[in-house]
Amino acid sequence: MLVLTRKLNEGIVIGEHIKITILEIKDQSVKIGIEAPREISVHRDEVFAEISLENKRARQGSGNAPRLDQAAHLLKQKKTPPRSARPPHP
Amino acid sequence: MDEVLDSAERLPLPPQLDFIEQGPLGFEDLRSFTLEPYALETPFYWLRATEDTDVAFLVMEPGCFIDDYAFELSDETLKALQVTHADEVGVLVLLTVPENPLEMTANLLGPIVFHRHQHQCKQVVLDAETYPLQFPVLLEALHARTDT
Repeated sequence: MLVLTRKLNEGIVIGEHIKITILEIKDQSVKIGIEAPREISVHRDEVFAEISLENKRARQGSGNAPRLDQAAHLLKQKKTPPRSARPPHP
Repeated sequence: MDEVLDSAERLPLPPQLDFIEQGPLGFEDLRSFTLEPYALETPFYWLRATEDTDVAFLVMEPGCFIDDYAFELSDETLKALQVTHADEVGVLVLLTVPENPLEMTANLLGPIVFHRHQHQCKQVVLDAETYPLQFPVLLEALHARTDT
């Protein structure tokens, strides 16, 4: 890992298109500005851990499957707009 | 205005999905999955790992419960999925189903996007400020029922 020391308002350039600037240093947090092309995705690293944990919660084993008939029924009702709200057929 | 399709009119889903690069987060080694209906007349599907049938997820197309769910895919993802037209892209969200299934939540932060005709898919990570990890799928429906 490359470790660089930077002061407030100093920055780092990565490749040709990514620029990182230290915007604020306060107590235990650092505010960082990131300029990058739209196609580069930027995420807090916790997001990956959160989704990973949620996937594990969502996992169903081969045991008893949950009964979803009532849920399916409710969803069906929800997606059927009242007759008056339906656009007229051409 | 886009036509709203109900579950009976939805486009068919592919019978299998193959994760490119890596499997779902937390299950990175599992890349090959089958997709089969949970039961007729329901919008739910089983996404089951072919290498480990003890790993399965309940999934659903987000259009079944939410109308304004939209996001942009990076050029990198589109290229990796070999997508050339928007109508080739399908989206599934993973459902977390607690003991009371009516309290199920959908993961709108990390949806699975797939190529409708070629089966490649990927779990993408969206902006955490905008998309919830645990969206209550049936909350409105439950409230509506309590009100009447």
